[in-house]
Amino acid sequence: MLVTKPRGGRRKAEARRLLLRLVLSAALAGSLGAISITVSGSWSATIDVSNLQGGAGSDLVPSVESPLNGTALSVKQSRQQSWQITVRKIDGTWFPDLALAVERTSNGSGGSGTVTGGTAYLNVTSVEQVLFTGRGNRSNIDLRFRLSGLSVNVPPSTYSTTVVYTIVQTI
Amino acid sequence: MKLFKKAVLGTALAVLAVGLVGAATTTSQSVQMQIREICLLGVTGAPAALAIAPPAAGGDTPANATDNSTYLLYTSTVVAGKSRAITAAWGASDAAPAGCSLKLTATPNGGTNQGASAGQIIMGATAKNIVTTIKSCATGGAAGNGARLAYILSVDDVTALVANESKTVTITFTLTDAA
Repeated sequence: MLVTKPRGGRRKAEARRLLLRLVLSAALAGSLGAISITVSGSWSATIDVSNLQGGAGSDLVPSVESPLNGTALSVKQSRQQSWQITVRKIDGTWFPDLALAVERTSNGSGGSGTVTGGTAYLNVTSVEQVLFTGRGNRSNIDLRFRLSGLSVNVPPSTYSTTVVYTIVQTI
Repeated sequence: MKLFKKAVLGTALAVLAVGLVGAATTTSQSVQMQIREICLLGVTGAPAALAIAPPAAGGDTPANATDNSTYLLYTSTVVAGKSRAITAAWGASDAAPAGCSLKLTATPNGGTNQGASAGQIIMGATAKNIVTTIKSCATGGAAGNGARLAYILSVDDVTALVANESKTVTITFTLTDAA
């Protein structure tokens, strides 16, 4: 027995197939453009009497910096496309006088990628800001931190913050 | 049906756009800073020699000798609710010349958290507070900063004075957590 689908039913089935194809195409495109970012290293600063500007009676130095290459970002990308890295922080125990800034101190290595910008300190806040941009794969892009706002007014304690890096592909 | 197709197409293009442009990943790291307590005390040198001089007129008691040329400089950081004090003491074998006592007053310059004078003390081998309620502060390290030290070699008993007697004492100042 021959059963004929109603005209409206065929159109719906056609539309579903179209949607499925496009979604699969998009997923494939997304996977082709896969990008990832990893961070290595960390910074743990101890501020004590050795950070005084002088001897007894002097205040703390206003800021301290991490080593030039204590922290590095690596970008892996399956296609040679442009990207940008943003940074923000989520404070744990923190003191309002303290400010954390970050800058890029190397171009990284490996791959044929490039990096641009980020070579001046950027104050890291809770709001995402562009740290630097680039294209393609790049490994070991060194970062340096600066902690400022130090003084005897900062109560002795352990302060921590989580620095979040996000990479996004751009056109 | 046209509307449905447009919606399907729009959704698919949006997904496609995300796939091409909006791929994003995130990584994070913890940054930790430890601010330690700081407790550092210095003194700007030794006072001039305190000498009991003859009185201007016969029959008068010799005048006390004084010096207020030196200062205590200190840097202190403490947790909330905690304070420090500066104590002074000399060695167990130290003493003032016969008939005299050595008196000391430390006067902070009034800066925030730099503490309050504990008033005049008579020097001895037992540590006594000279500045109290010091919290987080830095007095500064320049001349004239900090707590001024005023020494008085006081003639207590003129009949006990011994001519040409000389004593050198070493005074130890300590910045310490308040009891």
